[in-house]
Amino acid sequence: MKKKVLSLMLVSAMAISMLAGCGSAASESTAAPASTAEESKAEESSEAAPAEEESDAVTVGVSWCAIESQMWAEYQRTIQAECEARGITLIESVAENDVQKQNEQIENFIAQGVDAIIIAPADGQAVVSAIVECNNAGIPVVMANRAAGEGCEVYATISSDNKAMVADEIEYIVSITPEGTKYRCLELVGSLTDVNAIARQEGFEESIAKYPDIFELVATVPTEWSGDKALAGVQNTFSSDDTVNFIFSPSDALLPSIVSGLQQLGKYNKVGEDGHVTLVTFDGAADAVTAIRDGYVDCVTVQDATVQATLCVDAAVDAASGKPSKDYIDPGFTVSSENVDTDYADFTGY
Amino acid sequence: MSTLKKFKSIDAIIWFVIAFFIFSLVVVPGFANLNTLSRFMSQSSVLIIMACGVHMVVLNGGVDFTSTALLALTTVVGASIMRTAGPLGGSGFSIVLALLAMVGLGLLLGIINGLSITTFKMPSFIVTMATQMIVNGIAVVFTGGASVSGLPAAFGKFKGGIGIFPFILFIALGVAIVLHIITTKTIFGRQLYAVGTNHKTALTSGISPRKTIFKAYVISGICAGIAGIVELAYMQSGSVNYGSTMFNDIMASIIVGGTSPAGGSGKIRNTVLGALLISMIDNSLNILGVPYYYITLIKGLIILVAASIDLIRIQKRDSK
Amino acid sequence: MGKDVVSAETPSVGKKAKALFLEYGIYVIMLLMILFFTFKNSNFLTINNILLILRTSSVLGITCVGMFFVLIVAGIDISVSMNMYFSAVIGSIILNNLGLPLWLSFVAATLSGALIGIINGFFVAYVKIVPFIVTLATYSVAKGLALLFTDQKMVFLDSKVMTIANAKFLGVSAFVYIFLAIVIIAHTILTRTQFGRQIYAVGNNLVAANKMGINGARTVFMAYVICGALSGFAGELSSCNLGVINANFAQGDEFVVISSCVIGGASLFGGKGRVLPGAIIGICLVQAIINGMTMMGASAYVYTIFRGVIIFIAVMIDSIKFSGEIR
Repeated sequence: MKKKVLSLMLVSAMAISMLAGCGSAASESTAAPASTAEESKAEESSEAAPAEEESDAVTVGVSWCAIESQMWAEYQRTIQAECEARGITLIESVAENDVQKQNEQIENFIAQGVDAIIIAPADGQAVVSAIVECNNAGIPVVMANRAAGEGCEVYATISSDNKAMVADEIEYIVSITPEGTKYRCLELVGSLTDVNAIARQEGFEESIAKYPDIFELVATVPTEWSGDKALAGVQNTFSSDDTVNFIFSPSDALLPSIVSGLQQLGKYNKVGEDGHVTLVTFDGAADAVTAIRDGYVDCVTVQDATVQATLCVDAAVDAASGKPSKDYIDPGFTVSSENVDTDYADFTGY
Repeated sequence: MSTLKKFKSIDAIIWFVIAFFIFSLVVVPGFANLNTLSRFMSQSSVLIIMACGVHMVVLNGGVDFTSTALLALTTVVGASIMRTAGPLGGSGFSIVLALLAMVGLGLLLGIINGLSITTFKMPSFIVTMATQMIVNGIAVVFTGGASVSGLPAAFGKFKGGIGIFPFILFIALGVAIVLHIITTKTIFGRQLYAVGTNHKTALTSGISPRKTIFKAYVISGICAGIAGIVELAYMQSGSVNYGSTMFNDIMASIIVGGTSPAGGSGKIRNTVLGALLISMIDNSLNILGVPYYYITLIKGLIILVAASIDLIRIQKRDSK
Repeated sequence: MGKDVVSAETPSVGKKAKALFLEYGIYVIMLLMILFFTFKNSNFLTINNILLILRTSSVLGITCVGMFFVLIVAGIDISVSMNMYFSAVIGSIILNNLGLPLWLSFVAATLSGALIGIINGFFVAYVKIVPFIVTLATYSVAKGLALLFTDQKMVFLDSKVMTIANAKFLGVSAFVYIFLAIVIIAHTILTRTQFGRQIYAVGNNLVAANKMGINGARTVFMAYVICGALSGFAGELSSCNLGVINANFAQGDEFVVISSCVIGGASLFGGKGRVLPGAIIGICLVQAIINGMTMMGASAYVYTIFRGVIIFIAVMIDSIKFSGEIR
């Protein structure tokens, strides 16, 4: 009896292991088209890795925190396209915003012997220990979109200054605001454990503090990056205070839920119309840009994901071949109802 | 016992682990490398300690959600105390104080959970869920959401090791050994298994289920505190994000190790092996390029399969 | 535990008061909360706001009704949140990719939810694995599949969904009507049908129920299927409300649902719980907390702590009455 059970378990163990291991091949055929590129490159790299310096192809590992918004999707698309165009072998991993997972994934890259690593950290500080491991292994690190904390060596940092970008938006709003207008603001906060969300929250609160005559912060609602909570936040705030006329959204990922909420309240009106709620958002997703064109959203500040991603790949290649490095801070640009059809007529968003 | 009988009585989890280890050595690039193995051992250490702590609670058929939140809270509190820019200037004293505080927090939460469950008779599921929310909330308020770094260099030495074996692995194994001794060689251990199997018969034997279960939750809390120390040593920074996805892995380690979630049976040794296996699966599949969500799916299936196998084994054993 | 033993003498005033408090404790807490929030912002106790709280509670409230069935048979279902996500994704495929009408996507979502419920029910009732573990596993599987189908990206829904989100009768959102209808139907099933009686019997004592001739396993199985189906339906409804399915859709909602049910009178030990008004009160209390905190302009940081504390207290009151084994 026991022998039977034991062999049953052994067989299951083998089956599961083989299933899992072959999962990388199986997922090629079952996964959505967008990830097949990732899978085939993973297969190539597992053959290329042992070869290291001998092969012509540079192998780059990219550690994503998460592909949760359109901006990140564009970032990923650009990096994949650039690598394919330059014949770089690309390995990717996504950490679902889990700082431990990300550290493990980066250390796995080291194990695979990549030539350079691009990191989009969930938390720039928490990822330092993994970067130190990379330093010890002699693999150069490029930071994507967010800087790393202190205590490690980074080859180059391509980042956005979240605070400055939000400040820019507020300045724009102030510049077009007619005299005497008062904004009663609802501030939606992303996730309280997300450094970017906190930077945007601080940026917003510091910027409006400079104009106490114009801005009054009525409510601050945590959304944990959940559309559900953003919608509830919008509805609850208006129920509490119907005179709110300004909403700051920390990401376009929340925009559809905000729009839904405003529509249900009958407050989704165009710029310049009576009862318009000023909408200021972040990221530059396609639906946000379209909404600006249609006149519903006032402005969005855009992280130039395409430029950033290209520069990341540039830096990774330069690092692998030992060239000197250049940091880059993306100032972002503000697309607003004013310039959407003039300066940014070609921009469609992510 | 004849060699054949000894062979048959070895728990299945050992075979799982060996099989997968060999599989990884062969198929996974970069795995058969001393540095990788060393890193792998570091990565598993936190999971081993957490799983052992929760194991004590599962022996009673209960559950402990708070441990993952404790990982976040203890690391940020500990890091805040010992950081060089902190109130005690990163001195040796500050490190000791920080470590004590971390374990102390785990102890405190363990006591709160234990009291709620034994004195107030609250279901472990909801109580530990509520305390998890509260602890997470406190961690976020404490730091404003940021992570805490700038730890003194002396603490950085914790990250080292002897040869390829990291220090934190020794801590993890130490915890496991202590818990192994507690569960197998002390009266408390026997009481825990008795209570887990059947409260009423335990009562008639003179065991107090309340005291026993209370101690189990306290131990789980302390383990979470120690796990926090190990996490802090490994990551060299405290963050409110730690542990957010770990619960699945903890339960998977325990179930795969053959512990029955209804309580009453399960060896610490097997949970440690379970933790190693889950860690290995994570790492190997990740290196092989399997996407994160696929790995989640596979771990879910493994839990189901492992639990089913465990049931079949118990039925076969009971029917003899 | 002599306190629960019926004694020959009349109980003292103190004991009576305590018993009253324990029985209606949750209502006392609600009252205190309402008073507190109204004091902070008088708009809290307006018709509009109450209707808003009802509306915000509708989606998860439907999931709560399903969870009641499972809790009454002494089970638990952690997979409801990922069930909602997965079913919403299936619904979106029907709507977006296949271009079929909206009602069909609701059917598809409900069926896919029922499918997960069938898997849960099978392993719990027939293979007899502890429900916590089974639903933990299906949680992971559903999450993995949903992320796989969406490639971890956001899914924008066709604007047809706005018709449901904006639909109102007599100034009250359609969501509220749907929620209340489901509560009434479930209540009727649980109190006036034989199946309902079997559910309570099985929850109180599975062995005794089997001896009485009830097919205990099948009853438990059906409870999980109902829970799954309602979760699927709720998921689809939620996606229509938001117009989009993010990668973190319904994340963490299983906790909200379970604690709402316990607050609403269901017991994790089974055999107890009235869907009407339990399912409504529980979820409305939790959503009212969030609503109230936004209304009083509370700092973003205290939301989780406050919610955790209220749930803790509510469950503590509920548990003091319980005199059985520690779980």
